[in-house]
Amino acid sequence: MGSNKHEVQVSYDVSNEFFRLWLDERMNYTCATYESDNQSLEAAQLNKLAVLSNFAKVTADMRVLDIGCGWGACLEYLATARGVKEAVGVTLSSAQAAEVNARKIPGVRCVDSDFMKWETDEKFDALISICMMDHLCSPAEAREGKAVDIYRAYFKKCWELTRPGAWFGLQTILRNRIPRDRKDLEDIYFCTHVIFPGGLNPRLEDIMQAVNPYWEVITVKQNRKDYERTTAEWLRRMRLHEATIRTTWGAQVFEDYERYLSTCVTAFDKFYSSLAQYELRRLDR
Amino acid sequence: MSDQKDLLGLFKTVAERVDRRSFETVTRDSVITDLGVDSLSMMQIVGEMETELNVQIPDEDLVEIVTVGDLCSKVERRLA
Repeated sequence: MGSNKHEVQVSYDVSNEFFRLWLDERMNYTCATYESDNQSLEAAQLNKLAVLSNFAKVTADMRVLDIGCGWGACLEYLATARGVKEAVGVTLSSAQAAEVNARKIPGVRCVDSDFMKWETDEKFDALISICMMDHLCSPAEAREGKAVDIYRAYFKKCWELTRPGAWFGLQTILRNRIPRDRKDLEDIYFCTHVIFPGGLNPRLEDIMQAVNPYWEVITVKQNRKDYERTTAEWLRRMRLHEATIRTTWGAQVFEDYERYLSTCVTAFDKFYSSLAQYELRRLDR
Repeated sequence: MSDQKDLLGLFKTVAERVDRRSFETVTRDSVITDLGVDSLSMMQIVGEMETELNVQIPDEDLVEIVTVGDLCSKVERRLA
């Protein structure tokens, strides 16, 4: 279902050092939330974490789960800036899990597991999940009409892992309009199959349908232009390290990632893709 | 408003431009995949018809299109 472990490794395990060259210093590999025209990527990434933590109503006495925690930027933010009791992350990428646990951040723990198969008796007071849902449903499953059921199973699992009264700060990349341009279609096909195999960006209407009957949607914000700006900055930074990347990881890696990031900038500009942040309240029975 | 004949004619014109071959024998009953039109060309044809007629076909309508007539009907609905 969705991206398997091997496919996730293709997407995230090129090398931690490779991503460190062009992401922000905390290694956020998701859309930043910009507050002004001259704000830095670093500040906008921190702002994104604040927005989602506020949506999740995070306070210091809480145990918070970050689903699809990446390299731990949100976990570190929760433990240091928000002072939570415990921040637990789940990721399907072994390289990411090893990186997070090696940093030994007080109050932070990372589980190397497929979230949908993760068995635990733990209950959490708040949830955050940043752009993980695009790994849940494969293109083939979407074509078979399974997307809403798959997303609903995810929201059900989120509900089961939380205590009554919980809130959920969710961020998802979205797919909007299918390109009518051959080159744009080929570029998006390349990103889906080479950079993020097994994954598919959800549609907003599928998420709105699937979230019931587990979570109440309080707020939805679409920040498409923020993702265009974020990916443009990643591309700019990556090109600064072209020689190093070609030497260390090979020409193909540089060319694939240049095509992928350029495609992202175009996709957000032309409304093929978008980005949404959601403030969700647990529906208690 | 375009009638059925106009839309079929527009499809042929656009398909010939996109795929650079003749579509003269195509009818509304022609199955698009049988015409040898791949999915990328199909989207390009849809896009050019949308531009020509100043209509927007929702993506969810596209998965239901099997024949040339299906595409013409989707466009006709948006023109009505």
